[in-house]
Amino acid sequence: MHIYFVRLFLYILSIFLTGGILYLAFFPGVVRKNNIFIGLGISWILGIFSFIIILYVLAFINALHYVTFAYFIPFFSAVVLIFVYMLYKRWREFVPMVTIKDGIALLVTCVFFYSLLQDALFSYLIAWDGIAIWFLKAKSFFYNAGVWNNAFFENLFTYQYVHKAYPIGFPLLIAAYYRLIGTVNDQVVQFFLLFFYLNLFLISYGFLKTALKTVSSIILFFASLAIFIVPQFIIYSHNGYADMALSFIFALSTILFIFFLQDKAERPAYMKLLFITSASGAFIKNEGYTFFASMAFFTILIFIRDHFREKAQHKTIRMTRVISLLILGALILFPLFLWQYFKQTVPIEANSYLEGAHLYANSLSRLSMIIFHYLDEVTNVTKYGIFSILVLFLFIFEHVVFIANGKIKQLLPSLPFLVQLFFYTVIYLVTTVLLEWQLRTSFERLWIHLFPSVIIVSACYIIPTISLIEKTWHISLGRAK
Amino acid sequence: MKNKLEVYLFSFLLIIFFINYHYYRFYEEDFKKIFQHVPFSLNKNNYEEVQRFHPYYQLYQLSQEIKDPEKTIVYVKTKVDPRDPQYLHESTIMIDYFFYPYKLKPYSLRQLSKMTFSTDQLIIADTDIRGLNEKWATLYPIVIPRKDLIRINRQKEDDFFVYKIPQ
Repeated sequence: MHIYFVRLFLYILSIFLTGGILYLAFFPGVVRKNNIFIGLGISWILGIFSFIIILYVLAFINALHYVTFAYFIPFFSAVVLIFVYMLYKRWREFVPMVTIKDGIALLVTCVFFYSLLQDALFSYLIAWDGIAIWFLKAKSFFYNAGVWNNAFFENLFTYQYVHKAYPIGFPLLIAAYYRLIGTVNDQVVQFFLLFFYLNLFLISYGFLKTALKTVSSIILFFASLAIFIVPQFIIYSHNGYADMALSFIFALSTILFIFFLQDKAERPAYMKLLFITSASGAFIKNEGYTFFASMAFFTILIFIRDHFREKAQHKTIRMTRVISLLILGALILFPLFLWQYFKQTVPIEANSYLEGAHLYANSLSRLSMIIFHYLDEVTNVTKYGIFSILVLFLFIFEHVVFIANGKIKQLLPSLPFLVQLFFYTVIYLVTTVLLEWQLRTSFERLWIHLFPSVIIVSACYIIPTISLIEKTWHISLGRAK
Repeated sequence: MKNKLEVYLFSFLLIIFFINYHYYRFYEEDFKKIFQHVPFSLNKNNYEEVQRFHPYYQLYQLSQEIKDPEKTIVYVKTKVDPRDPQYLHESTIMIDYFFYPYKLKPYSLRQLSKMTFSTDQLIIADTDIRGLNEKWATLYPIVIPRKDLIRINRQKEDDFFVYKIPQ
């Protein structure tokens, strides 16, 4: 096998294994309670989070030249050894995670997506934003050791269209692979990007299995496939855009938020995972900042409420829990702070699309245009398949049933999605860019971020909705008990 | 299947799956096109062979061949829209991307008309400039026949022209 492929597979494996080590070491309770599909998704994001933090720090001390295959070999060997040791230590938690049925589902996934996997290895890069915003920056991190003394960033008047101020996590991950093979290869690296899509599919299937335990796995597998093989997801699965990564991050955050609300015993663990997952979005794209902020806000609020309840019940508050959260918070904020510091020190962007943003006198007509465009996009069957219409109907119906029965509190899982959509709407309302143009060129990608979360939230409400209907109308919908 | 409801659900989902699968099938067929020209093998580096199908292959090739592109290449950028600050010609993105770390300075037609060239230089323009000025009528266009996969959802790439300076 050619070294480009070998090193690519080792790179991807090292991300999974690094994340797997952290997952098994720090979240044994979560490991025990979740299936392999969610476990894979969590391991992937923990690995991505760790790699991004390391790469951010290396970029800020201009030491990216240390990312070479020679240094990678001992790192990879250590990761494999530690992972094997963790498996041995945590086999009690890990073994129930893996069933033969799940193994078959993983195998079928690989076979089903074989042509997509092949294409990700053998397709040239052509998508505009992928090239301009992410891959050009990745090249700059291949040719330069970091952000300082890097003409790409420091020359204010060149490459003005590439949004230099965007977070650099995504190009750093791409550049790390370039550095492992010692050259730029924008074809093969698309295989790495595809893993955000594959993990999105797997965590969605994993979550459906958890939320709809009474439904057969085969039905849920077909449902997940039917949702994720639609054109919009396939096009963005490895075309060089960062939107599929964000889609995966938002979906996993939504799942973790649901578990955080449902599982009080593991709440601190889910809170940490939620911070890590949503913060990874902030390392990758600007939209991730607002998502991270709203996720952090809601979880901290609930955490503080729990804290005061425990205090009222005279329970001892474990300081280690608070301290570990503070350490994690510092770890998350550190790269964000570094990037902010760099942007303050070196002016890298002449004009931002939010510069001069303000509310317009015709905000109402702008809003009606925005809503029209939203509806146009979310009901686009050619892009999202007919399942999208069903999911939207289900989503609305469930909310109506919950609200009609006075169960508004149970709608908390919808909050992050709704807040994020609210933020997008505010940006559209105040933007100085031609609104029609901005909606046309951006909302289809923003909906990719949110649509999987809508599916997950809808799935989570199905059983409670059926229970409410049965209770209200004194009927039985024949669910298997 | 655990009960009758599941049988109904499964049949319903199967139909939806096949409706959606017919879209995916388009893409599967599309993905296979490259393998009619480049055999699928993980034993060798296929980068160059795949890149030959890139709509901007000629620009990529120039970026690989020319040692000092900032001196050798004159990039003429005519497609600007003062009413639309977001307007960006695809060739600008591709030139910036392929030639990085070199940055080709874009010249306007007016600047170009004042320039003198040596025979080892090349001109890349986003429009056919030969008919725009008598001086440029003798420019020799270099066209590399490009292989095309005719992929679905393909938007036609923006035009670009590469010229040699005549002896």
